[in-house]
Parts: sequence; C-alpha cells; structure tokens
Amino acid sequence: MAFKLEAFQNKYLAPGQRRVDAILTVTADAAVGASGGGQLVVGFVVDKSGSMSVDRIEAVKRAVTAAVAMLPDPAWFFVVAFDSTAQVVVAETQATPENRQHAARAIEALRAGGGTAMSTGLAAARAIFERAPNAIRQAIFLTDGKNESESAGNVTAQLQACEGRFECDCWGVGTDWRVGEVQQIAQGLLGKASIIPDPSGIDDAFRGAIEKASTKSVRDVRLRLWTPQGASVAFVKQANPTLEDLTLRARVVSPQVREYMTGAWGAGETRDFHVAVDVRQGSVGEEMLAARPSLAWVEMVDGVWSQREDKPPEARVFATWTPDASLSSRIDGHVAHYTGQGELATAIQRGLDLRGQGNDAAATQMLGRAVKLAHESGNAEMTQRLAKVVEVVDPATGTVRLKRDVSKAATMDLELESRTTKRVKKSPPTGAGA
Amino acid sequence: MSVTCPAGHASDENDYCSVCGAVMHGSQLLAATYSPARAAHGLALLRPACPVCGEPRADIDGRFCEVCRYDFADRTPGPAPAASPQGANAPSRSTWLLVLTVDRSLDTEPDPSSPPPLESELVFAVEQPELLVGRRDDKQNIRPAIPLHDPGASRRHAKFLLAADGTVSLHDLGSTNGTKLNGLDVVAGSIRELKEGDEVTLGRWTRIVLRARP
Repeated sequence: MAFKLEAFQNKYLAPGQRRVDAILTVTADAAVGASGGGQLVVGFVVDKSGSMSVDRIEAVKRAVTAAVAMLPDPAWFFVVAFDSTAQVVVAETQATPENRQHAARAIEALRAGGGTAMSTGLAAARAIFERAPNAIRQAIFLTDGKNESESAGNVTAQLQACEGRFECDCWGVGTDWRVGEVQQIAQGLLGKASIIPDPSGIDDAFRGAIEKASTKSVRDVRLRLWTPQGASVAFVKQANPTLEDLTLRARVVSPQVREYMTGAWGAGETRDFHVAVDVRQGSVGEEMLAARPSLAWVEMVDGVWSQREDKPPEARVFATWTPDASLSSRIDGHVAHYTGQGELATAIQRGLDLRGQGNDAAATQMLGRAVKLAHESGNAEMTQRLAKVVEVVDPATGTVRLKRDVSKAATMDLELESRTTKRVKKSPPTGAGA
Repeated sequence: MSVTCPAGHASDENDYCSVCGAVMHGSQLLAATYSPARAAHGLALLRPACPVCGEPRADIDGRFCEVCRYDFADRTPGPAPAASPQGANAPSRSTWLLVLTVDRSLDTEPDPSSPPPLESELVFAVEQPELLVGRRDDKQNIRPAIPLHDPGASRRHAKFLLAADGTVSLHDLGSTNGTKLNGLDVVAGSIRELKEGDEVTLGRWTRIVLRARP
C-alpha cells in the first residue's frame, strides 16, 4: 500500500434523509514513489516590472540563486521573468554545478522595468513544463504589484490552460498587490498564496518552497470517488491543510466514478478531504455503500510509467437508515470540525469585506464570530492572526473591538491564511465511523 | 469475474455492488465463485475465498491469492492490476514495450525557438489493441496514448496495433510529414507488422523502438 485512506463519518440517516458527509484522511506512506515518481522540475516565475526596482529585484535575484543552489542534484530548473511580456532567463537545465553557475550569471544580469502581465509568465512556464510531462512540476511565482498591463480574462484563460500541467505556490512582496489576483493563480494551480511584507523575507520563502518541493516523490495523485447509481456528488473539498473546493474540477472517469487532481505528494504527507454525497432514499434498516473512495497515481513500475490505484476498504463511506434519532442526529467529530473550519474561513473573509466597506458594526460581529470559532476549534495560529486586526475582549463569547491602525500586511495575511485549517485533535468526541 | 447483487446487477466488487451500492451477501459470493471449471475442484468452494477477487484460496497455507496476489497474512491487496480484472486467464502483462526517445540527430533543420523536450526516454507498454501516437490537442480533444512533444508530428500521426496473437503492427494514419520504418518511408495509410528492434522515426526528432519486455 502506498496510500492509507480512512473515512470518518456517521453512517446513520433518518428516514427520508439523503445527504452523507464524510472526512477522508489520506496519508502517503514512507515508500510512496520509491520505485520512481518522476524527476523534479522547479520553475521560478518572477515579476521584473518597474516597481520591483531596486531592492526587491535584487532580493529576488539573491533568493533565486540561493534556491537554485539548494536544489537536489538530479533536479531540473528554469527561470522566467515577466513584465508586460515574459522572457526565459534560464531555460530548463539540470542542476549541475556548471549549470547553476551559468544560471547565476544570467539571473545577475536581470534588471527591473516595464509593466505587469502575469499571464505571460504563466504561459512561458507552461511551455517549458509541457516538455516534461513525466516530471514532478512545481512553479514558484512572485509578484509585487497589480496585474495592470492586461485584462483579468487573460489570467483566467491561461490558468485553464495551465491546470494539471504544473503546480504553483505564489508570493506577493510588499502590500501593493491584490490578494484576489495572486490567490486566483495559487488556487487554480493547487498551490498556496502568501505575503512577504519585506523583501528580506524572499530568501526564506524560496528556501521553504524548495524544501517542500524536494520532499515530493509521486505525481498526478488523484482522489477518486465511486458513487452508487442514483446518487450525486454534492461537493468534494480539500479540508486540510487548506480549504479548497474541488467539486467543479471533477474529471469523469466512468459514469459512476469521478476523480479530483491533488497534485504531487511527498512521503508521509497527510491531507483531509470532505466529501458529501446525496444518495437515493433508502428504507429503514437498509445499508448501502454511499461512496467508494480510492487514490490513483502514476509511478514507474519495471521501467514503465504505470497508473496505480489504492482502494482500501477502510475508506468506504456507508449509509444506513434508522428510526433512532439518537443515532442519526449525531454529527461525526471530524465532519463537525471541518464544517466549523469552513465557517471560520467564511467569517474572516466576510468580516474583512465588511470592514473594507466601512460597515464597522457588521464587521465587528462577523470577526467576533471568527474569533469564537477559532478559539473553540483550538486554532491558535488563526486567533493570533485575528488579534492583529481586532482587539479580543473575550474569545469564548466572540466579543471583539475593531483595531484602529491595522497594518495592511496583517490584513492581507489574515485574508490569505483564512483558508488554512487546523487538523482534528486526536480522539474526536464522536467517532461514529464505519 | 462479476458477481450478482441482490438487485440483480453485475458487480465488479464483492463487498458492495459496484452499480447500486447494495450489500453483497455470502450466498452471492459463493455463487460467483462457482463455475463448471471450478466445480471440478470440488472442495475448493468450501475454502475461504480471496476477499479482493473472490478466487478460492488454493492452499490454506499459501500466503498469497493465486489470482490477484492478495496477502492473506497481512490482509493487504496485491499489486495494482494494469487493467481491470476481466478474466483470470487474460495475460497479466504485455510482452512488448515501445521505447520513445528524442533523437536530436534526426532533426535536420534545428530551430532554436522550439528546442526538443528535455525528456530523454519514455517507455510504454503495449497492452491495448490500439495505441495512438501524436501531438496532444485539448481543443480538439485528441489525447494520444503516446503523446509526442514534436512539432513535426501530426495530432493523429500513427497507431500501434496489438493483434490477438500478440503481434504488433504500425499503422500510419496518413500523417502530414510521414513515418519511417527502419529509415525507409512507409506508404501513407499502410499497416506494417513489426518485429523486435524495429525502429519507427517520425516528426522532427521522435524515435520509437519496439522491444520485447525483459
């Protein structure tokens, strides 16, 4: 077994009920991809527009050079810089000592200037990644400004073309960029968007990115979901480490099987998914399988790229109808936890929106609710981030006051991190599993 | 092997029906493992069946299922099958491989703006009756089993055909720039039987060699 899949749910439904909720915990074991998951190719896609001059572009150049130096030897890399057009600074090349030196010189020659058209950088990266379909493909994207030199539609169209071709983690330097624009790129490409308030932080961010990319050992991992005839998938979301709605990204494998791309995984990595299936109505006492999740991936077996699939029985999701309300009304602890984390994210995003609109009363109430939810779920990181934006009077009741001079960076950070969830604490209160 | 569920569906799974999700009962499991050929084994039916594929356990002391390599000791399934278990007597592995390499020396007019891809060698197993070779085009929904990153190749360039007797043939699909077999042009649209070591070249730099699986 390369992947461990386990479902947490309350399988009991009241008569007439159709919705089945389950949390799937997926863990890649230590040997995943051991026989060959693919070569690592890291692409740096960095903004070189006029606003990057001079501190930021210098910091980026140092950080890219340092990150290239960190790459494991067999890995490949390339560097794309974009303003209103993109240029390939370093074409794809293996991270040998000579190539690293050559790249460092090319990177050093980079000068800031021009506008910002992010889709051009993505397009250039895609063209290179498409030549390495069997690699573990990770992009590192950095910008510092608004996407002013093109229409938003360009990025949306380019993201559609890039989906499945590579993954991309994104960073914005300073506070003059739009969270929505950068987050759109990260979310479209299975990545995370973060803020680097000061250029001195770029180095650490890129180091972290390379460390993370180097752990990946298997690529194109897909969560598959079989559902019975007459059922429909209400939603599929990644619940941890970040909330991502995958429902609309479904690829139909066969009439009853859908799959959702989750990208590359490293040994020991764990993620949680929340699936909701509406089954046909059953009669009291009837038991049925509501979903059979499995995990599919690509791996080198005997020198051949092969599709693999793990379909462990522990991952099965059931439905049983009972007249006993004490059974059917229980909500599984894992499901309740992630439903709460979803509400927390929504409360933060709505609260920040309302504050931006000047509706202080409603913003206070909404952010207060967020503080309460973060407190109840033991999400201390989120409580700390919230405390930079509101003054917490009582976390248990969600009593807060809006802070006056809040730094823009703290607000952007809170918005970006609102989708980061806390895992379920050990031994959840109700584990009415299968 | 399929199993019949209480509602009468043919199920690929033997725990819950792969059509309607209904619970499969022991009686169905037993019926499924019954066949005239297996009846000759007589008592085999009374032995515990493999929980994955339903095959009766041939030897009570044997650790692995003879069909799907389920591990009775660790209770873990065997290696993932290359294809769905259509029948126990179908060959589990093909004997032919297609080795795809990017050969720069084939490129007579190198164009720096579209360099060859960095992939060095790809190996595809010939396990389907037809393998399409060509350039992937999502807009036209052309997704060849052997996708080429070669601007000189057509989207639907050629097919490798696997006959029931195990022989592999090359079928040029009337490609724009043609296909060569061992360096000689093949007639557009023709089908040529291949043998071990035959080299097919096409596009600007694509070389595909037929190899027997070691």
